[in-house]
Amino acid sequence: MNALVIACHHLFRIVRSPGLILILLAIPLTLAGIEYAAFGPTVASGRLPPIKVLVLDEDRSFLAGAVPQLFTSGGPLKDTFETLAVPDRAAAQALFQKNDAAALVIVPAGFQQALLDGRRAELQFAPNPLQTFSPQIAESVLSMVTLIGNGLYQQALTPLQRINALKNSGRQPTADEIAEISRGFFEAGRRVNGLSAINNISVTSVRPAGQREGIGASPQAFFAFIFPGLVIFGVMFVSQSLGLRLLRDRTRGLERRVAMAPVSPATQLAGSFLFMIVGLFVILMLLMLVGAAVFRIELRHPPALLLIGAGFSVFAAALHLAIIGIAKDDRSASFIGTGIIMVLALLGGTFIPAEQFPDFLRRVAFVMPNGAAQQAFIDVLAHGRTLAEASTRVGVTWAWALAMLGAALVLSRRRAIA
Amino acid sequence: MNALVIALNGLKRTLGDRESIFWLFIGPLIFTTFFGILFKARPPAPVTLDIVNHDRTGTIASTVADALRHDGIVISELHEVVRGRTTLVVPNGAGQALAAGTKVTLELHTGEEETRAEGDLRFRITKALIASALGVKPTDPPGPLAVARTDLGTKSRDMTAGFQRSVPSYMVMFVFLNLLVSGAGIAEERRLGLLRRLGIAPVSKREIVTGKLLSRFFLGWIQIAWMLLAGRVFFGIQWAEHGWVLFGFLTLFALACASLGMFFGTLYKDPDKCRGMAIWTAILLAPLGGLWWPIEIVGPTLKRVSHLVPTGWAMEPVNAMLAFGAGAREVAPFALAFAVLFAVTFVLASRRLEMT
Repeated sequence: MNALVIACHHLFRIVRSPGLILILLAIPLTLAGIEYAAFGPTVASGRLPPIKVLVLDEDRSFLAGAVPQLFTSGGPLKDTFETLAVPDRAAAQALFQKNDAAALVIVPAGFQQALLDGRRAELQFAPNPLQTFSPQIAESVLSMVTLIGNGLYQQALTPLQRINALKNSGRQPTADEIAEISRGFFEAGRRVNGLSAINNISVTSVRPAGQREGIGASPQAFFAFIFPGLVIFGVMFVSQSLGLRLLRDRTRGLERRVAMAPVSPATQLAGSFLFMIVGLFVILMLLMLVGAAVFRIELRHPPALLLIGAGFSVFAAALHLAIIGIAKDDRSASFIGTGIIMVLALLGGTFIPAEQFPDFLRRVAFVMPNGAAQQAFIDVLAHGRTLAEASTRVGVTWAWALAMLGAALVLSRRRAIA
Repeated sequence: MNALVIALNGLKRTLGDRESIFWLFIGPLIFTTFFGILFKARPPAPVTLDIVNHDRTGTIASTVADALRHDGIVISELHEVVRGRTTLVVPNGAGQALAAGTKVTLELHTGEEETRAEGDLRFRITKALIASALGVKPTDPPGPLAVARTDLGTKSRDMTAGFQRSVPSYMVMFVFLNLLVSGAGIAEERRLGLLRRLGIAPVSKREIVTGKLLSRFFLGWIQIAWMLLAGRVFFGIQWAEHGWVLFGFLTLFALACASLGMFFGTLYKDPDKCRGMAIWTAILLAPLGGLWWPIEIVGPTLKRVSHLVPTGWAMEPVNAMLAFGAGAREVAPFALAFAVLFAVTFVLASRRLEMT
């Protein structure tokens, strides 16, 4: 009973002065907001932001003028690109430096003539070194265009060769020759009729569950993937802050004064544990409710969520109680706590969901306490798995929680006796 | 002189603190290493694809298989889809439909998540189908139309992958974060009465303010120097072509951040709240400035925002110096922005700093 009174007392202190806790809670919410602002439009539309490709026309010919249309004329890539003509390379470089363009396509002087002569006609491609994905997409499109262009050229090769031969001979073509060239183009036209098939070709992805449930499936799915990691990150910082309050109670003599009252050290310890665990669990669930209200995350399988939340709250509380059990002052506790939180956040996939990690890091992430809890939340919230299906990760979370609780009890008791 | 003594004392106290040492020297290296490895450019892994052909003619399956094999993809031809393996299913009638120019949909059975490798494979399959429609075989001699890689005639280096991106990004982030958090020291010194005691010593307020600013500035520079050195020695980073421009710019950046941190310190009485707000601000501005992910992948609104925040002012010229060898002229507008930020926050911090 006394433990409950002590825990309530600690909790009321937080309620009376919630400033710092609110700031710490703002961190995951702000990060979720920024991540949505950054990637939300992409998620909602299923498309990347338009990729800007610069075009420098040094040929000033009919064919060169058609180059921007390669990117914007139609088809599935119509809204993927936007093009901008630049007068020279310096202008392109200025836009590259501002990170305002993905690539530059240069149509060199003599491009059209080379193509008509059947010589090698090169489009020059300069990617912006500040960018990764967008230049790759632009280059892929160019390679596709090259394939189609060469395919068309191949079909019309015979009549083009006849024209060149006539041009080189320097004489006027006869009516039969003109008719033959025309027939050649007519035949080529018939052969490339297959080009209309290009617009009708599609490759669709079929996923095991029969539907897409990845991070980009919908805004709700996006948040269901990223929000648990941020909540866990926030809870770890709140846990550190609560632990430091308890430590200051000790260093400022408050614990000693309570010890004068008819309360055993074990009760005092139990009160602190209860306060931390209940406080963190309430905060974690509050954040989940905020996530549901603000980011429209569907809170599926509540018993699973409660069990994961409880497991992680026990772990986080025990971790910081263990830290204040070994730390002499709040500086030292802050140093150890921050270091551990940082390493756990990196390895557990707080900033980038562990599902996106390379294999070896992903395996590490899923055995970390925060990584297991985060993935268990994702399994339930994003993939709709039940408690039984997510049991391995829930088990990992609870195994860490119980191990850390044991360590915290030993260390805190030793400190209390000292 | 008194200002320098105050600065050096402050510096000594900070460098004697284990937490500060961690955040100055070890933390940034951990982040840099972790994200450098995570985003390191890797050679493409060998891709395997099963093809299940239900089409009677078999032309699509064979031409696509030939084209993909030519692209280095390992192809197996199976009779049915095996769960867990990436498989292309060619439906019955696909060959006829392609010849007639009517709709053809091929199914790519793949994993739960959409990955870049999958997108790349889908692109290659589509390309192979188009080649098939055009009658172009992978063994045909190349046509006259070609694409050649070029550059803009300046020394440019790839900036986006691995350590070449993570080292400058986390250098900027940690200098910004640490100097903002250092403002909590002002609130703490006021709460503990250290500022009051300093106030009754024979030093002017101007000397105290300058000393506090300098100690933070030195701290920023120590961290910058450490990251420049670690970047070169541990990660092989090629720093800027114009070393002095980078040095000058980072100096101004550190000065502005130190001043902003001091200003934060004058806003709060509780050092914990000050620290919390500083961390929140840094965490807010780091992704907005493009320190966490490449700014190319965000929408146009956030791209514009990146030009308006100090982290963006720092990252854009640092990237330009590293990637393009940008010089003083290109860096000047950003340096001016930091000079203004420094002037404004320093004046405000000096006015607001109370000793008690």
